[in-house]
Amino acid sequence: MWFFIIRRFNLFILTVAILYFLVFLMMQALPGDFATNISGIQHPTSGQLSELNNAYQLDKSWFNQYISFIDQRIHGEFGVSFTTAQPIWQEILTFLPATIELCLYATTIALLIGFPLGIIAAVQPQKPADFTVLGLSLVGYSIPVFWLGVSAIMYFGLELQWLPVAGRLNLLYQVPPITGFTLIDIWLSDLQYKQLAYRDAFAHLIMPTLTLALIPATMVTRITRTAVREELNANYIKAFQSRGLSPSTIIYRHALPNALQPILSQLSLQLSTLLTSAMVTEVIFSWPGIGNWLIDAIYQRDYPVISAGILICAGFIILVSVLTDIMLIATTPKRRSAVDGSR
Amino acid sequence: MARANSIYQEESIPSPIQQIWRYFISYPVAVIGLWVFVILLIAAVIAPFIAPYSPHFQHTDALLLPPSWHPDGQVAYFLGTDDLGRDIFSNLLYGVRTTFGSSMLVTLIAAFFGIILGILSGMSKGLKSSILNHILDATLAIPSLLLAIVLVAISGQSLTNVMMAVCIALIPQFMRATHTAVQYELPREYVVAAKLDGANQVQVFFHVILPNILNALVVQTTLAISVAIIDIATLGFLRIGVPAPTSEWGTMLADGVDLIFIAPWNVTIPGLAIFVSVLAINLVGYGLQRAVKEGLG
Amino acid sequence: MTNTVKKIFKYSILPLYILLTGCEQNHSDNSRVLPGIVYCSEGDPNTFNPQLTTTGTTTDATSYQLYNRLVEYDPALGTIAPGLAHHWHINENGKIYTFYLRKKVSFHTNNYFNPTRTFNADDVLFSFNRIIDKQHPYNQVSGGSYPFFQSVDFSGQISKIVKVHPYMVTIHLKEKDSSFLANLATNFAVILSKEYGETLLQRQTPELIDTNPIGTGPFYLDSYVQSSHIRYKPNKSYWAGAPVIDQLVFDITPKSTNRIAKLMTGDCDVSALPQSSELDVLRRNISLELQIQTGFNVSYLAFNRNKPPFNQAKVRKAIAHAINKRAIVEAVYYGSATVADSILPPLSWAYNDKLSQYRYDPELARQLLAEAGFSDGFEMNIWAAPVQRIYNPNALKMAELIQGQLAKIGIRVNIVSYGWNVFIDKLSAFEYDSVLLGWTADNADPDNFFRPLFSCASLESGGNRTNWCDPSLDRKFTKAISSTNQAYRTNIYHQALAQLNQELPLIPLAHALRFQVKRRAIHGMPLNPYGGISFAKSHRVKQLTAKKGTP
Repeated sequence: MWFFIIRRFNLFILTVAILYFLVFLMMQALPGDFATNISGIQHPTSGQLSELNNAYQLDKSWFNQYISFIDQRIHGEFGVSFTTAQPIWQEILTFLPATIELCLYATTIALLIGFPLGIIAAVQPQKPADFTVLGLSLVGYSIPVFWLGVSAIMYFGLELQWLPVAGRLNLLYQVPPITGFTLIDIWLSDLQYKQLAYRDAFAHLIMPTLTLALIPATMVTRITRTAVREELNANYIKAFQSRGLSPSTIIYRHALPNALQPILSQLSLQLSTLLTSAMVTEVIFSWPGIGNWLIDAIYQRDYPVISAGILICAGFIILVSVLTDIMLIATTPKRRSAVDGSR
Repeated sequence: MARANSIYQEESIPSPIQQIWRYFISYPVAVIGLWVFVILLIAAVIAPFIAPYSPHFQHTDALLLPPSWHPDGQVAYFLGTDDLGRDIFSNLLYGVRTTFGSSMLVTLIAAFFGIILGILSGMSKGLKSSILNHILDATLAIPSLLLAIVLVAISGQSLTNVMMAVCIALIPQFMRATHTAVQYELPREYVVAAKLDGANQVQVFFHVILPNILNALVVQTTLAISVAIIDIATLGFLRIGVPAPTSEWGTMLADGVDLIFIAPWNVTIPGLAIFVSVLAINLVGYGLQRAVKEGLG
Repeated sequence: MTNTVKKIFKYSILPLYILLTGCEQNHSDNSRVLPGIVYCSEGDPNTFNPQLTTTGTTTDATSYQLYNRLVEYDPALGTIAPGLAHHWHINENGKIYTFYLRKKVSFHTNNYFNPTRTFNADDVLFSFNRIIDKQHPYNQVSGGSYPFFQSVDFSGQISKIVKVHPYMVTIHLKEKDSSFLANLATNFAVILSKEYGETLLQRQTPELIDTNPIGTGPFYLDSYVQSSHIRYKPNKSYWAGAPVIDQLVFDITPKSTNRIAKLMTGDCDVSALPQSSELDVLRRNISLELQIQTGFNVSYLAFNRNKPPFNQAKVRKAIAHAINKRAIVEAVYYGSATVADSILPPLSWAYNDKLSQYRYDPELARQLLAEAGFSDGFEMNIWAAPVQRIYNPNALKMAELIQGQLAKIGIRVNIVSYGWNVFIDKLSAFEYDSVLLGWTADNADPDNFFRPLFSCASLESGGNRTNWCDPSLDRKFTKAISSTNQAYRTNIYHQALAQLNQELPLIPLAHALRFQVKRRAIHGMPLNPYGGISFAKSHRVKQLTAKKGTP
């Protein structure tokens, strides 16, 4: 098993190397001076220029530059932003937890809603429950996330004025960011008005999370439904049925755990969609995450931030998919052979 | 079908395609989806002829008119106007070409390249296959949004950049689907049989593998169209797409957000348009999937 | 088994419902325990010292919050009122101004500065000598550019500033200038702390004087996160009475719809620059209050007059005839503006109502173009920034309208846009063909519309966007400020306006009404006609009846 994990890890390294190469190429193609774009220093003094030359090997061949580019980035040196002149690494540390928080909560809700619905549909094929679930998931899957977000703002925020529509927390609450996750940070802080702060943070979380959760929920539903259905058609299930095991035991003890693995593997393919939806949701709800930061950078033509953002986002997707893969390989022997390519 | 004037009762076994079609027709929702799809295709072609006004013409005397069924609306501006007096209905029609039409075009191009690459990678083994797989994984990780950001950063905003970004982002999906399908077919008995018969790679591919993976590819294509529509609309919404003036549904929706307090239909109508077209495609895709499963057992 | 699943569903919906209704309570009566105020502002300040800038966003954020001036402007009476100088007088020849300074005024105490003395004449000399004395150690710090002061030739006017004793200062002018006091009352003439300046010089970080500000104002700067927020805390020892609120936060929200949304859902208490399209919604919302002021501002399309073909008068006049200003007022301002036929709004006492109009006439425009040799039209660009200003709620939309209007006479327009700070930076290179900008007056003196926009000095300092100036016009401006006789000045200004109308370096488009919207519970926020929002007296009043349906 370790062999496979090491192999997967090698794949990860290789994929990341290719990613860095693609970003490196992109930086060469950007308008403006390469040294400026890669470091964020707009009018470098001669001292800074020689530092840059050393750090990025700008006077050597492109291969050297590529290697030193990776080297700099791995050590956390992403340069500074054109617009704020702050180190990009700091900005990443501020914004990334916000995005992770949003994605995590949304995925949890998607799973909480999608799993039960998928199971319901799978155990009652061709019945009304099945059709309803299928219909709902098809409709939900077709709603563009930005339309949903904007409509939610229109209705729940502006019409009914139930919920706030922007940001993570009302600015009057000063919560020192320790982990970057608002709810945890409130808990860890020593403010006198924690109750109010919790409610405010929660109120700000509701709409973005639910908006983001819709599409993954529909995907979880469909994937669960298909996977559980297939499992239920397997012979060993029929054997259990003929032996008189109760339906709930069959589903929860046998079918579901086996179905879990293709569900998770299919879900990891949806990561890039999740990230795109998260970025759009952040823009709509002014959620201060990586997506909002990156899209702002595009309007401002902030090249160092754009390249850093792409590295982080794509790197994140690759990392999570590799971790999911390793987790699956570790738990199911069947999968290993598929990866290996042998029969 | 039996012919009345023949002696023998001919039994013609419907071909796989006909079988699939028959199953498809039996799902009413899928047929509705197909109708909508066909209407959209026709609208994309004849939009300039049926649109009541030029989409970018600013009617300064008819700003922010609500849709015609509202007491303040006018039938002349069927779905109302935006804040510069541009007719929403005409913009919607031209938007069919921009959003819907380009997604079709982009999908077909991506399908072409993706399938070929997927076949090459699926049929090959060893190092070549490994390398292609790794590149595939790397590119799969980059969503079309990020690619669009890159292209816009490099060469500015334009429809071409948007289409290129979405196209390049779709290719890995086709590659992976084709690759999986081909890999699934390769160990089959009939493939082995054909090889034993003396067929070379090309013949094996065209005569044995291709017919069996065609269905999976068609299903994948329909799914890809819906993804392409949403991607193009999203890029338009984020204003990373075509520069003004433009009749793209996503951009129209974004413009409508500025008017959210006084003219919410500017948000709802383009949103509905996107929703309906994507739903139609998804219904067709769903119908095809089921029909293929039933038809080929 | 499906029953269990269904049960799980029901149980999870209930808590969600409770939380939602709980949250409704929190926002609909707005009884926050935290007694602070959040202001939705339209952009980042580009510095924390108003001396260095003329943009409204920066002065709004800084001038009345962090600083005071020698004299202040009283909008209600239209006169100059005491500020840090409680008394002053001008001698008979109008060239010597004597100011008697307030005692016991303290500067901010911060984690980066601890004052050892209160405000006195040294600080006045420091603040103004920085601008006029090229040898002053702070003159070149942060760029050395003082746009407002350069445009009114501040350093050229003043012959010397004298400290008579710690609480008395005299300023000697070279020539009589009737706008001098008004200029000292503008947002820009703030008083800095000399002690702070010296401390920073010792620490060798002089530029911090503009980024980590110290002033005498009602608030001090607590923190600033770019593109996010500015946090101010009250100055407990403010000489005019400490603010009652606990903190003041500027929430930087560039899009107007977002500002209004935050206002309606309780994330903001006061908002800048509502769009005219939103006014109806705001009026209907009973928990909000809309304040309206007539506008001492103008928005214009400035030509880069040095760049052909805009150096030809016929081309400029053709474009003037092709623009439909009424349509712009309807579409961009939703009617809440008046068409501008000159730089000065009709409210100004120097307004000239006898100017010949450039009426909307596309035929005439095409004819003029043909006469200038462009019967096939040409291509040009219009630069427009994607932000709201007081004088222009939507420059991009205005550019699109003009694009459509000019297309009718054969001119093809490209719209060029950048984020606001990048935009302002790039303007100084004069790469544009034309640009949509505007001006909000800093005081009631008509001079404020002329010298900062058209003088040769402002061409140097950056307020003049037309890339042109005329010495004969400059002479008129100087003559006008040498007298306090209103009739005499009016005459000269009429001549200047007529000359500008002929030369047409820019096309004035509209004078916008000024709006401010806030929650009804917030009091103490007058709408100042000359820019510069002030929170010094703001406070929140507990609403007795906050239910819907009560007036």
